[in-house]
Amino acid sequence: MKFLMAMALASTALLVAGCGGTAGKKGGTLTVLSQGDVDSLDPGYQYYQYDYEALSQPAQRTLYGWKPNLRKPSPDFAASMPKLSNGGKTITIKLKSGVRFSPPVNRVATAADVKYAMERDFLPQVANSYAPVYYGDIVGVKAFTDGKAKGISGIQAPNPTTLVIKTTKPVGVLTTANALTLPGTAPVPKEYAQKFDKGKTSTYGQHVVFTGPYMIPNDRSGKVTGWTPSKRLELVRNPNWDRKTDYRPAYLERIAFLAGNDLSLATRRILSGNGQISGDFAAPPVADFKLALEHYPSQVSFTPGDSYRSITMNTTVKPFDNVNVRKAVAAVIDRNALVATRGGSRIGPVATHYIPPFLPGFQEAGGSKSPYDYMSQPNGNLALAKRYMRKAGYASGRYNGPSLLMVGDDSAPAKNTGEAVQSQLQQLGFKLNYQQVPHEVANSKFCGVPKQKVAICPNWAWGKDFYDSQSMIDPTFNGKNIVPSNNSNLSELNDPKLNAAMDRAERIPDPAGRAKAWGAIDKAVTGLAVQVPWIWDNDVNLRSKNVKAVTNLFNGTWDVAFTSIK
Amino acid sequence: MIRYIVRRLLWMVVLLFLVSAITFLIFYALPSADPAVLRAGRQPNTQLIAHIRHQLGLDRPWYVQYWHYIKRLVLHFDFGYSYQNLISVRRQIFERLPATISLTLGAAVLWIVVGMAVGTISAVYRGRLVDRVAMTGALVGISAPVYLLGLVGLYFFANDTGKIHVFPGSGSYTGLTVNPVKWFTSLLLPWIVLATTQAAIYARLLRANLIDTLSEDYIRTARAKGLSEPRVVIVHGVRSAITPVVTAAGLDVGILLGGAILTETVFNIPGVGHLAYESIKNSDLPMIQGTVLLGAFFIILLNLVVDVLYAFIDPRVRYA
Amino acid sequence: MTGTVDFAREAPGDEGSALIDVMPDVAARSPFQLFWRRLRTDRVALAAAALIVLLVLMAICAPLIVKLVGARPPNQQSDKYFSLGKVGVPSPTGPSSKNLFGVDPLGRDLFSRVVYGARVSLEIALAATALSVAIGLVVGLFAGYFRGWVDTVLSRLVDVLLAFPILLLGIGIASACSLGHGCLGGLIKPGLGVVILVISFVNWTYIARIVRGQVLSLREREFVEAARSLGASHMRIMFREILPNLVAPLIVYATLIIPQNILFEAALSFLGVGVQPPDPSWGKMIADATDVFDTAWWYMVFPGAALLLTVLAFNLLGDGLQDAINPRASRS
Repeated sequence: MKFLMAMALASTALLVAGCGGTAGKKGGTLTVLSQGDVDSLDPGYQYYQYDYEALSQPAQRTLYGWKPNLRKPSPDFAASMPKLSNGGKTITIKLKSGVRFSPPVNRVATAADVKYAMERDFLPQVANSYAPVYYGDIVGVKAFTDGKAKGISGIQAPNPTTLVIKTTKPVGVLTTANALTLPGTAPVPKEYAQKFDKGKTSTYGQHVVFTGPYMIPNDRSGKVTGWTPSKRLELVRNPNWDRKTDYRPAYLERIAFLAGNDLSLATRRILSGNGQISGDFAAPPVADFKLALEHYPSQVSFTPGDSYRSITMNTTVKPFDNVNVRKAVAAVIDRNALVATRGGSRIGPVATHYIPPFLPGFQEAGGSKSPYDYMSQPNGNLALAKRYMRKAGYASGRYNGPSLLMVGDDSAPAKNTGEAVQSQLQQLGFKLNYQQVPHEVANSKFCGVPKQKVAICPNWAWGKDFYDSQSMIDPTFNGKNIVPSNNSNLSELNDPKLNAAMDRAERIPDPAGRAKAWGAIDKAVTGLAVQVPWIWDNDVNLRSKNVKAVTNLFNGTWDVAFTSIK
Repeated sequence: MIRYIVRRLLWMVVLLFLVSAITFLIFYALPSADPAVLRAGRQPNTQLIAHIRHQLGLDRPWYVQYWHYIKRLVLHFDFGYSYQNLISVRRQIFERLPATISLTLGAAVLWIVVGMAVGTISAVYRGRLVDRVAMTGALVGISAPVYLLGLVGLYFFANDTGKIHVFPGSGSYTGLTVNPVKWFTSLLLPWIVLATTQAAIYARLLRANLIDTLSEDYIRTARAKGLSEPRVVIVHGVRSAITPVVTAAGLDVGILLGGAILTETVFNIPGVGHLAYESIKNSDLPMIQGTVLLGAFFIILLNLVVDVLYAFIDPRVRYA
Repeated sequence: MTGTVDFAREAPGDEGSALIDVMPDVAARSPFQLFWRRLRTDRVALAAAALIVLLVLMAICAPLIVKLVGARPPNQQSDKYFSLGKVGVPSPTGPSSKNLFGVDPLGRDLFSRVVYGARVSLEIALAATALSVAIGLVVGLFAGYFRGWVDTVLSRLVDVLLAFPILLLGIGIASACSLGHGCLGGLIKPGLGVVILVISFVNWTYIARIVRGQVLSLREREFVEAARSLGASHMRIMFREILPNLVAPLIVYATLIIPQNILFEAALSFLGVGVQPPDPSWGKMIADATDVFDTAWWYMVFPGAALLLTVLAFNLLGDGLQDAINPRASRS
């Protein structure tokens, strides 16, 4: 419990320091250094943390948004929180008037534009990935995706400032507005976008228009000119944005996002330079992290990542079908040593289960203590592990079967974590065929493909979609979510009792009830030891001395719409 | 001569075709990441993946895919699109090529000049201290991997991470057209590092050949005629000992133009070699194809150039 | 197309062509005593040979050496050897009495990893050299002996392979075969074997060319004619009559390509497609050191020095052997 207090204090201090209570200075150019680029300019596709940071938060108005220091949604394009009727199955949302699209569209955005935006989330050419998960229970979705209806009947726009969403059953993530903060709820002008949404792949991204304070420069036809893929993305002021309708101060005149940076060099440049902040890197390399804390402590900010990292074991691969072998692995892992590979305790507390601190259900799942002996000793316990191995039928307390396939990332620090795991498992006699590949390949080809029968993935991480623990547990442990590719239930856990409990919890409408239910499920999953969660990590954000940067708690990164130059 | 060149050019086309076929087969047959899944984003559903697979033509048999590839290549000089980011392979390669050419040609000038100077001095002062020091140095140069030299260079001399701030550090490459001064300074350290290992080889090569040449009769005649020693060595000796150096330089430049993978990796230079390496790690087949073909093209072309040059340098060589 | 086997340097130099030129005389003479007398006076080569013997001993006795020094085994990870510094960020510690060469970012003992690294490096280089010589020998023998269409087919195959950017091809095959359960339907399993195969695969073409050239001239010699007139089979002529004459030059050539193969393995491992963890490879250690080299100099220095010294020793010995076998191109 101690660390929780410390963390809470730290983040409060940070907010005070960050916001400072005083307004920022208007004007100036900010440069954001990142490793990768945004995934897409199309709000219908965006889902990734850096998409939020670079585009969704500063340049679009989603129905609801995340103020920097709040852990709950605030109305953005919406005028107020949703009104529920019909037992939670009808959601009525009042919209602001006077929110206008950037040139060349220029007109006022209406409820019909949100309806079109959410409909196009289901088009294969838009390639949105979460719509079926969170909006799948909206009335009329099936008819629309089967091509039998022109629109989704459950999304209605009775007048320009009213949006009504009807669902077949109460959907907790919609009634609490959490899933209505996703980038795919930003309005899209149908008459302008429709021509780009035809064909194999939507090209709306290259012609996207904006409702937020900033926009990417474009030409008169609307074609984006301020983006060079994998290199540079530029934001300038949106002339049609009205300060009065928005909670964002938008101090900056211009923001340049530069991709393709080496983490180590970018870290040094930001810390010693002017007008720069870190973009998509969760934390700098360990050596540079040390340098940053030694020489530039005031320019380093921590935000809870609201995520965990874990070692996954595949329950369909021998010997991990045996719960006692899994418990032995959990017991032998020296989680402190793994945390050390990422930069030590400043990077985050040792995890004992899945739901991270600050998410509802954390306390219910056990807080920072664990009821299980194999998760209680952060330095690992070889004797205990051997006892579990013996219980599993290995008389010597050591594994003596064939070597097991382990696939992990090929770059530091994840690479070091994997090698530490390998070395720790050796103590139990595990021989590993351990392969290091780029992160995307590890997931798209191996860990996320059940057919590959990967036994262990040492570099798994999972974060929230919003402040609701369903997104922490359901995609990763519900048997119904095992898919042939890009699987996120890596352990292939398919426990009928747990599946049923999760399906029930999905339908609970009130936040307290949800926290209790998902917390209990977390505890039960931890009891099966299918993964070894080892850290709830913080995001480490860096800024130049002259940047008055503000972090966004929801996204874990800087919020450029609140940041200014001193 | 013309007929010879035409025949060699035809053979070049055949070779390139074979190289492309073999590359395609190797990387098609060997396991790699699923490009459709790579493309589909962070949490795609199954229909989406199937849709993308169809779009990329991945649901067709390999020979159909290969046929389409070759057709586009021959008719439109189109190398297809990267699986990774759907950007044209040709565009990405041509964007990266200037960096590789800058690195290779700059280093080549340096290593040929230094290598020949050292080699000549060593041959002339054969067996003396200067020769022994030079040849020991050359052997160390040959034994040191280029990436180790590069890292050591960065450790001491990079202006961000080094002990003495002399050269711009890793990742500072700037295009020639963007800023010629920065282009030059950013490439200085990579040139020196790459040239060091190469110069060592050239010095040894030239020295060995020059020692042979200088013991031949016509050199003795030249000396007897009373020509000055530098004139004998440079005009008569080096000129005939240079043939293998030209050959080696041509081949080396050919290979490096296809990508100086290690040097580009260490100095984080956005060249073709780095691109090729990344594409292999990401199983990006169209990009692998493009970079391998480019590499093969340069190797075969420079071979041809070397053989033709040979005829000019060495009149004994005739081509039928 | 001339060229040598120096892939690990990115562009092969042309050192080998000098060797190819001198080869033909060698096989004919092979006066072993003369050769030995010359080698004995070459102190540098003898010193190199001694160093190589030491290295081989170190590789074979790695566990013993590590035990004698009192170091931890090479793969034992521990956070005990980190210093937390002022700001609480764990960083590896440098050379000390407990860890002679310091520890790596995982807290493993660098001394034992460097010592065990010799094992991995030599194992791969020697095996790959042997394998590529074997393949090159057989292909070269067949092409040179039978000539005609056999020669055409084999030589064209070699031509095609030589047209490939070879380091790229090596990386490609190594990376593909190291994935998952292996390549070619699991026939080639990830591990040291893949690295050996890749190195041999790119090496054999050069050896095949040299052998072919030698065989072309040897097959016209009297002793081959004699064997043929006595009715010896092709196989017998190739392997009993011609092969023994190739042994001496091949040994010299093998000595010269061992250091190249050591460098090739290191380069593959440096690029992350060579030796798989936890096996220690000098090249991989150098690659890992890139991230921390300004705070942990020892992580680059010791593996780098080991690699440099080993390759240098083999190069010196190779030079000595070459001089001894062919004094015309002697160094002094």
